[in-house]
Amino acid sequence: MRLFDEAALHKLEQLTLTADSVRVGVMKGNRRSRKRGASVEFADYRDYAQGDDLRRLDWNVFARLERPFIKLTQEEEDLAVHILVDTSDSMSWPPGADGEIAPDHKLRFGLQLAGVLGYIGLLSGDLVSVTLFDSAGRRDWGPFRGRSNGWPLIQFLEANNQNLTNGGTRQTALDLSLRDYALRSRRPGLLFLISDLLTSGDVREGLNALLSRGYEVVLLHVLSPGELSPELAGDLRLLDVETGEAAEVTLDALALDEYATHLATWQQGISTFCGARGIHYSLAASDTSWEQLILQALRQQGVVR
Amino acid sequence: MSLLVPGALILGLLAAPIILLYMLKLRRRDQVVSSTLLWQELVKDRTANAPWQRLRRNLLLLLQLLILAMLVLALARPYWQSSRGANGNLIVLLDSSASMQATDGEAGASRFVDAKAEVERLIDGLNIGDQMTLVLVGRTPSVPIAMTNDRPLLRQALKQAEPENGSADWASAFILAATTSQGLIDPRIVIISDGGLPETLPALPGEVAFIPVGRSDENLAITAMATRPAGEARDLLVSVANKGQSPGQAVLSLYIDNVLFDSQRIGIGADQASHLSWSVPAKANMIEGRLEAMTGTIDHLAIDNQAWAISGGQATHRVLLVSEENLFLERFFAIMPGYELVRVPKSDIEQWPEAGGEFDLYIFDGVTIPEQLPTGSILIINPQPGTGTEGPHPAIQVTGSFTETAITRLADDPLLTNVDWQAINIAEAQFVSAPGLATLVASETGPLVLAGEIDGRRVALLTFDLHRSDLPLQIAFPVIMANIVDWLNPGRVVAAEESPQPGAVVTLIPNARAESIAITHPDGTVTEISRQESGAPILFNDTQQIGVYTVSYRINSGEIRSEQFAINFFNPEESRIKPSDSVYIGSSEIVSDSDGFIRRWELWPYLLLAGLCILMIEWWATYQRGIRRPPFLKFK
Repeated sequence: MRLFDEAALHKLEQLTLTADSVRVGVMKGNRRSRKRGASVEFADYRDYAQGDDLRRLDWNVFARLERPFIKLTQEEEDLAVHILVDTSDSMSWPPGADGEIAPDHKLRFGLQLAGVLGYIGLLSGDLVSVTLFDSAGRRDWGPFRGRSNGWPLIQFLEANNQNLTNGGTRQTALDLSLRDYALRSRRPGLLFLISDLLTSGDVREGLNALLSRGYEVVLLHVLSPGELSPELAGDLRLLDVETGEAAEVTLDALALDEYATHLATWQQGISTFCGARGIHYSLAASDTSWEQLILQALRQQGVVR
Repeated sequence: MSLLVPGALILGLLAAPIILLYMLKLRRRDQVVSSTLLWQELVKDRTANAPWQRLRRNLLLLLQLLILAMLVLALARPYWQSSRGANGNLIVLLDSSASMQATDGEAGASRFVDAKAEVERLIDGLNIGDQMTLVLVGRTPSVPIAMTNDRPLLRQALKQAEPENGSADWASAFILAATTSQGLIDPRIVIISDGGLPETLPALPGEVAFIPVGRSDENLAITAMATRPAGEARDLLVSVANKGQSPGQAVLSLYIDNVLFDSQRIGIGADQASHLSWSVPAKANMIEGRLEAMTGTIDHLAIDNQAWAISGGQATHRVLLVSEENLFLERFFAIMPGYELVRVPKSDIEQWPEAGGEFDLYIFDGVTIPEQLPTGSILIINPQPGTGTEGPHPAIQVTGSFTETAITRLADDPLLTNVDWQAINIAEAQFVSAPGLATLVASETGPLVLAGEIDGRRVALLTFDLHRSDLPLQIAFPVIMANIVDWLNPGRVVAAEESPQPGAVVTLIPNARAESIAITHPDGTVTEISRQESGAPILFNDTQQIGVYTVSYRINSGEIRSEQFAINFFNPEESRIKPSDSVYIGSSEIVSDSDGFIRRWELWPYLLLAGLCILMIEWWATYQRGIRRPPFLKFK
């Protein structure tokens, strides 16, 4: 099953990614920066101050008003876009029937998102790098710039979709992986973290590490419908597909209520943490379409324009 | 609340295997999930407090334990206990004697009404499976309704129950109760009475309880009233008794043939009796006494405040004596008041039917008994064997004479009272064989005195000649003659008896000439009795009412004659209305204590019902154990 089709990708041509707090890119990109710069596009005037470059004084205005004004122009810049996809076994969920990939498979959904976001970035001239990681290792793509890299990105994701969705024995410790990524990265930028956050480590440490390096983080929290409201009942021994840990529970309506409460508390905790640190947080059920998430949820958050 | 079968509670231990099965049942199904991260929290929560926490929260287990509890409790048969009312197989002995008519209940209600209210309460308290038998203990105990749970029927039977005017036959009632309770499980006998039970009653099977009724013992009564001839007049004796514990005053009024004759105010001390006498005219037929308590004196029982005496002695009875000569008999009837004697010589025996019409008493003295007996009472003295084709009457065969007349056998009969037969000597007597008559006095060889009934008429027979014995010279002669004449009851329909009491059997000896008999009760109702073909005496037992009964009959000539007899209360035992709090049954005293009397409200049917309801809830819960989606996740 293919991750993308051509028609869907065309919708993305109008979109750009924006980052509020990311530093100016080193190369001139074809995105508008919030920074005033030296491009031709007029932005604003301001009073002359000592030491300003006289080349940028607006002589016409000076002649008319006999007061010096500096002409500000829009700076154009490029953006480093990092897309991190958690590929642990908990993401390879739910298992499909007869070797098929389930339609609400979390990793597939995650790869779709990664592809879409990366494609948008490439179209708008950003420096895009995609990393599929687990605690054992990572698969990197990029960084690349330019729309010509769109096709290779998609191929990379399709290939990994085939490999990873089959499952295996992959675990993630998000705190370690994120800290590692933060240390190793050469250029901070807009970072999309796509994960279910079902991990042993504390994801907040990893996020803090990224923030301290100057990343602007967008957290896309992907959970399957079966995790949001489990359709389980009876006396069960629940086995963790990732760690093999077991939990014995007796499930009735009461227990499911309790689970729902726990889930809500957990998710609320993460959401509050992110809100306090300027991390864009979105919970996405894996049976939602990526169009809905990108075009509505991320637009509302100002990440996509 | 107590338990009938507390041992059944041990079945409660079955809860252990149920819980154990629940523990064992927790062999869990393996289910792979993406992560146990969130479930671990749940497990931590659920096992935090106690190991059996999850059992506590398991609704199904709880329901199953509840069902078990209900079943075990139902088997233990819990019951509420209260002091009024009983259940099981109830046999209610309801006293319906005369003293139950005493009006010492609330607002003047009679004891019987109170007793019925108690029975009503028992009926109300009947559980499913309980049965009740109602026994009315009167002169003859009756069972209006037996062994039923049908409350309307029981109430109907109770409603129709009325107190009687006589004493209660408790011994028979106990036998009835004992036979009824045979084969019943857990019989309970409830006696509702104001006391007055004899102390010699046998023990009863099962539990016996006693509910007393009645509060007061204040009662004035006429306990006796009788007349006797005294020269030209009659003497009347009336006894009035105060059965209560405080002195009382009353007015005793006498009515002779419904006209007030005299009225007297009398004061009687507590538990005392007063005897008064009057001289009343000899013509007086019906004398009625009425006792009325004066203001300030309490008299709870009204039924014993009236009494009647019927003298009826003014009629003259006609006697035909067929005899050669019998001075003794002629003298005797001359002395006896109210008798008119006509003597016909022995030679004129063929003409006796024409000797002046109808007679009430025929005496054949020393003659052959005619083949055709007259229609009246007959006294035969010294019968003679028949001659040729003439007589004797087939029922009385005379076959010769004997001289061995030493008296060897005496029957115990009222005819012979106050007679010393051993002092009587008889020279010769006739051999008489009369199968219809009973031998009262006999010698070794043959009978001397016989009495009985032949074709509906009373017949007395002396087999010896009065002149050939010393009987007429003895003081016994007038006594035995008076006895015989009284018994022969000439001319009267009602057999003389000393003031019969309510329910007593009154013997009616229909005159051979009577065509039909009608009896008018004190309340005016009339009972018609057809004369029986055999002419046998009629036993009239519909004498529950107190008062004067009039017996009317028409003789062939068309003349209607009437006679009266009175049924009097005269029952000192019933007049003593003091209620008692206990009765003696067998060798034990049953006290009207709530301890001896348990009413059980068994709860097991309700427990079973509750168990069934819980079972249905459990079934529902099993199928409703579904999944509910937390509302906050409906963000899609």
